[in-house]
Amino acid sequence: MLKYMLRRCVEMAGAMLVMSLLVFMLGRALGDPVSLLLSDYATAEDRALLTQELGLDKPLAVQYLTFLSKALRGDLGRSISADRQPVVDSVMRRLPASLQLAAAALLVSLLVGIPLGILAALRYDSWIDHLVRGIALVGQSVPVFWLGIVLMFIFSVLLGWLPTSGYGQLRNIVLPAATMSLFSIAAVTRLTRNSMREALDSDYVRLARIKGLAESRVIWQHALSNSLVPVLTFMGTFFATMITGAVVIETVFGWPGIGRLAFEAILARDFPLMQAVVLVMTALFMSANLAVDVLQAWLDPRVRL
Amino acid sequence: MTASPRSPQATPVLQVDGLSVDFGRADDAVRIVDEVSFSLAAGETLGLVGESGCGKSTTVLALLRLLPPRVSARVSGTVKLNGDDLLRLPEKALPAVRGRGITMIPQNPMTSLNPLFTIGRQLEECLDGPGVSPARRRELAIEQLRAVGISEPERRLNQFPHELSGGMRQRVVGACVTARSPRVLIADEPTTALDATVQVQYLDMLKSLQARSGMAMLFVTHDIGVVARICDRIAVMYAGRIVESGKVDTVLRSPRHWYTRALIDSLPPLDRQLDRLPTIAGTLPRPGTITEACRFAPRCPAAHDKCRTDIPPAVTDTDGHVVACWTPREQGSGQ
Ligand SMILES: Nc1ncnc2c1ncn2[C@@H]1O[C@H](COP(=O)(O)OP(=O)(O)OP(=O)(O)O)[C@@H](O)[C@H]1O
Ligand code: SF4
Ligand SMILES: [Mg+2]
Repeated sequence: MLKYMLRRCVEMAGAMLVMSLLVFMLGRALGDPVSLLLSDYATAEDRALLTQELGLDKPLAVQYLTFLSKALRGDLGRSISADRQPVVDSVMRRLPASLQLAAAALLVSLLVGIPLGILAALRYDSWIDHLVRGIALVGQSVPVFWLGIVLMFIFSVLLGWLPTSGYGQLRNIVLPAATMSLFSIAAVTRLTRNSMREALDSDYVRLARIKGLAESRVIWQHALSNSLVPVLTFMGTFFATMITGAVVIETVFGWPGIGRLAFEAILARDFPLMQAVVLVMTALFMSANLAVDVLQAWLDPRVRL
Repeated sequence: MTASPRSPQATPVLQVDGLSVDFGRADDAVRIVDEVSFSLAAGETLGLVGESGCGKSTTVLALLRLLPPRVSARVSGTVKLNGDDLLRLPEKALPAVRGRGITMIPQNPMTSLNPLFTIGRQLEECLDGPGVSPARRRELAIEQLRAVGISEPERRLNQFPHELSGGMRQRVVGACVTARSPRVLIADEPTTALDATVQVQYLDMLKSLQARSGMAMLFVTHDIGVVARICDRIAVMYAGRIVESGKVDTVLRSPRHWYTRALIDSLPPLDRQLDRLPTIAGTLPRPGTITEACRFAPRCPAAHDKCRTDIPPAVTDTDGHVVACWTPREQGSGQ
C-alpha cells in the first residue's frame, strides 16, 4: 500500500512538471509579455529595461528553469492589474470559497446519488426505478449555466427564499452547490444503480445467499461494497467537471472562488494571474485524483498490485 | 450394522416431486423444467446428467429458490427437505435453510468469491452465530480449509481471491458452502473449469467431505464418466424432463431409454483414441416447442407415431429403474 502511494506521488509530480512546462510555453506563445505589461506610450528604453528585468533576453530553457524554481518557492509573478499583487496571494485568498463549494457539491452528490441508486436497483423495473432513471437522464443533459439561471429565477426571484448571490452564510451556498451537484447526482445515481444491479446478479452475491447469510448482509456488505468501486472511480472525472463548472457557476452566483477569478483574469487579460489559477486548479485536480486512487486501493485489493 | 445410507428404503432427506419451472410471463411462458421428481437419502450421491441447456442448472437453482428474479420464473411442485416444503417457505426463512439444510457449489465457482473480501472473512461469516467467539471462528475456518485440502490455511485466511489459483478458489467455495454441515450438497458441474488432474482431486475432496458428514449429494454434470466414478444413482435429463433413472451400474450397463443409450455411445472408448467422437445427431428442441410428445422423438431411432402425440409416462421396475419411453430398449441388450 505504501509503495503504491509512493509510486502515485511520483507520477503526480511528473504530471505537474509537464503541466508547468505547458503553461510556460503557452505563456510565451500567446504574445510578448512586455507589450502586455507596458502602456502604449512606453519608450524603447523602457521596453529593453523590462525585458531584462523579466529575464526575457535569456534562452528559453533558462527562462523555464527560472520560472520553475520560482514557482516551487510559491512565486508565480505579479498581477498586471494596477495593484500589482503577487498572483499566488490572490489565488490563495479565493481558494477557500471554491473548496467549500466543491465539498458541499461532492457531499450532496454522494448523499443523494448513492441512496437513490441503491433504491432504484433494489426496486428494479418498478415505477421508482423508472422515475429515478428519468430524473438521472434529465440531470445529466441539462447545461450547467442554464440550470443555474433557472434555479436562481425560481428560488430567488419568484419565491424569494434564497439570495441570488453572496458569500459567507449557509443560505448563500445552497443554490450554487445545488447547481454544481445536479450533474454528479445524476451520474452517481446512474452508476450506483447499474453497478448495484450488476452486483446483485453476480456470482458472489449468489454464493453469499447460498451460504445462508441474512439478506441484509448480502445487500449491504457484499453487493454494496462492490457497487461503490465504479462510483469511486467516477469521482476522478467528477472533479474535472466540477472545475470547469466552477468557472460558470461562480460567475453566475457571484461566488468569490478561483473559478470566478479565472473569469476575471481572462476579462482583464491578466496573464500571470491566469497562469496561477490554471496551475493551482491542476494541482487541486491531481491531489483529488490521488485521494480517489488511494481510497480505491483501500477498497479494492486488486488495485494495490 | 444399521440400515446402509445407500439402501433405497432409507427415508430421503430431500424429496422432489413434480418440480416444474416456467420462464417468462403467463401468456408466453416457456416450460424449462417439466415435472421433475427424485429423492436423495443421507450419504447418497445422485448424478443428474444431460446435454448443455437441458435444464440442469435451472432445476437445482429452483430447489434453492435462487433463480434470478429477472427471468420471472414460476416454480411449481414440492421440494421437501426433512419434511419442510422449501417452495412454500416465506422468503425470510430461507437464510436459515440455505447453508445448513441444503447448499450448493454453483456452476462458476471461479467468480463466486467476493473480490473485495479476504478468504477469512468470507469463510468466517458462514461460521458465526451466538456463542462463537472470533478466536473460535478463526479456528473453525482453519479446520474447514484443511478439510478441503488447502495448504497453509493460516496464511490463506488473509489473502484475497485474486491471490489464489483457480483450483484453490474452487476449494474455498467448497469450504464456505459446507461450513455449516449441510444435509444436502448440490454440486453444479463444479469441475468443468479445472484441468483433469485437479478435477480428480476435487472429486476426491468432495467425497471425503461427504464421508465425514454423511451429507447427501446431487452431482450435476454432462460427464457420464464422472457419474460412473462417484455416484450411486443417476438421473438422465432430456429437454427438461427426467427420462431415465436408477442405480448407476444398472443404468450404465443396460440403459433402456434411447437417449441414455445415445449418451453412452458418445463416450470416448477407453481403449482407443478416436479422431472424432460420435455425437448424437440433431440438437435439443427449443424450449416450449414440444409439449405433447416425447421430446426425444426427432432424434430417436425407434420413434413411432405414438411418440409424437403422447408423453411417455415414467414406469418403474422392481429394481427402482425408472424409464419414460413408449418402446424401451430390451433389458440387457447390451451392444
Ligand atoms: N436467465 C434465463 N433466461 C431465459 N432462459 C434461460 C435462462 N437461463 C437458462 N435459460 C434457458 O433454460 C434452459 C436450461 O438452461 P440451464 O442453464 O438450466 O441448462 P443446463 O442443463 O444447466 O446447461 P449447462 O450444462 O450448459 O449448464 C436453456 O434452454 C436456457 O436457454
Ligand atoms: S418414447 Fe419413442 S421417441 Fe421417445 S425415446 Fe421412446 S421410442 Fe424414442
Ligand atoms: Mg448448467
